[in-house]
Amino acid sequence: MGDDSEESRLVARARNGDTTAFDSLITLHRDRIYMHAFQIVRNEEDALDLTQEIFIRAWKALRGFDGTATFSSWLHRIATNAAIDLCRRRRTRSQTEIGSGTMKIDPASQTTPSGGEVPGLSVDRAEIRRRVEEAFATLSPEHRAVIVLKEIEDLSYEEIAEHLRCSLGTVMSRLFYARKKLQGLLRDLHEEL
Amino acid sequence: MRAKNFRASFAICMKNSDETDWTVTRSLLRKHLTAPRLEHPDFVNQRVLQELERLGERPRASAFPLRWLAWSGATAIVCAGLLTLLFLPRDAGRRSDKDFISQVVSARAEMPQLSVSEFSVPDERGVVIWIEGAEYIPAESSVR
Amino acid sequence: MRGALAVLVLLLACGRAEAEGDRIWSALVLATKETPPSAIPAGLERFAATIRRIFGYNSLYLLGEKKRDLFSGGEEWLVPSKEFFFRVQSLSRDATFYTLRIELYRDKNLLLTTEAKLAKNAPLYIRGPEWGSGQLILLLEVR
Repeated sequence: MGDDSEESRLVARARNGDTTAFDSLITLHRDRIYMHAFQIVRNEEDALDLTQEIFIRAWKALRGFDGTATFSSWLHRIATNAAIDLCRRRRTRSQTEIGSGTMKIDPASQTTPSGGEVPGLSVDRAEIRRRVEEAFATLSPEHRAVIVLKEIEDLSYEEIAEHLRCSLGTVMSRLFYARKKLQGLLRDLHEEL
Repeated sequence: MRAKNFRASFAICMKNSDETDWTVTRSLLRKHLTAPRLEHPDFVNQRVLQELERLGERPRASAFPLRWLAWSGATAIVCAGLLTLLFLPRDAGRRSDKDFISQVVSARAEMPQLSVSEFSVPDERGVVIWIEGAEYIPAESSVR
Repeated sequence: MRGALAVLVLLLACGRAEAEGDRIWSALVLATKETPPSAIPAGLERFAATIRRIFGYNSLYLLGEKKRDLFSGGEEWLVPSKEFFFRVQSLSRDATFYTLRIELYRDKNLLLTTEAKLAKNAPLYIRGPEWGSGQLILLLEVR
């Protein structure tokens, strides 16, 4: 409770243009915002740039913060939408959509692609991580966001709908699609575990 | 009867298998989609503040100072309390049917291709069961 | 003694009357998106806003409805349509909720089993399959 009122004071001061107060708010939230951004964009450099962008957006939008949600939730929402925007921009730039039936194979990789694996050969942890990352990368930014918000951060459906400014129906449909896709791509890993 | 029971059992097994699949997939995501720690965190502060200075951005000061808002709010609460005591009937505090919201205790799809989720609609006191995977019915088929 | 018996009978009758007053209502609705929206049928006005908000549809058509008396410990078949119907068992009742075990069937196939605590006039919405250009939604409500 003490922390909340201290944060409210900082927000109030920041709204009046006090950058020292905003600096304190950044310190309070930067780790969590960075981790959340990383969960969606899956790239450290991008997540770092994004964290800065998120706080700049927050500063500009502070006048619109009316206190109905906590500052933390409000910031979290800005972070989710900024991460989705970045993923969309990246997809437009690179046009490298990984189809559900194919995988990008790094020639320098030490591991063999799963399609050519010898039956019975156990998959090491690094390979599992790579497969999970690649499966996750096949999702659109919006589908990634719902998976992160629901399955990693345990938000409720209603909270996710508010976060993404969409209907509950849209949340449910995206989750259903994303889950089915990930299940399909990672099913063979179940046997290895 | 035996064939019907077998189909029902098979459907339940398939459904349970599907749920187990997702549980395993979910645990894979939670275990491997981790995030690294933020290195050089003070760098974030520095860059943000530099950018704000460069932009010359500052949020507009509120037209209503906080102290004024606080006093207005407190006065409004006191007035509301007085009016409540004076005019509201005694039994207004008793909860009516309108306060209770329906809930789903458990929900299970009974066919393998179906999945089920549920959520409440507190504003309307209702609850929704969302079935996914049900087969599309062409318009010419009767459902009445 | 007779006086005490009379009071007991009266009390039981009052209790029974309260239970007899409760009914469970079900409906099969087709929800569509139309421009301009169709008029909402009588009896569905209360559900229109929720269906619009949750499911995104602005027009409703009532395909069938059925109402039955609801007693604690009883079981009823609710058949708003030949294709989609419910078996409802009332497991228990308290001052505010009926705890119901509900099975949803499509023809001979059991689609869904749910245990729900329904308050009066607080509906259960079940999203069914798409039919033609719309969505079938089933409604259940204790009244």
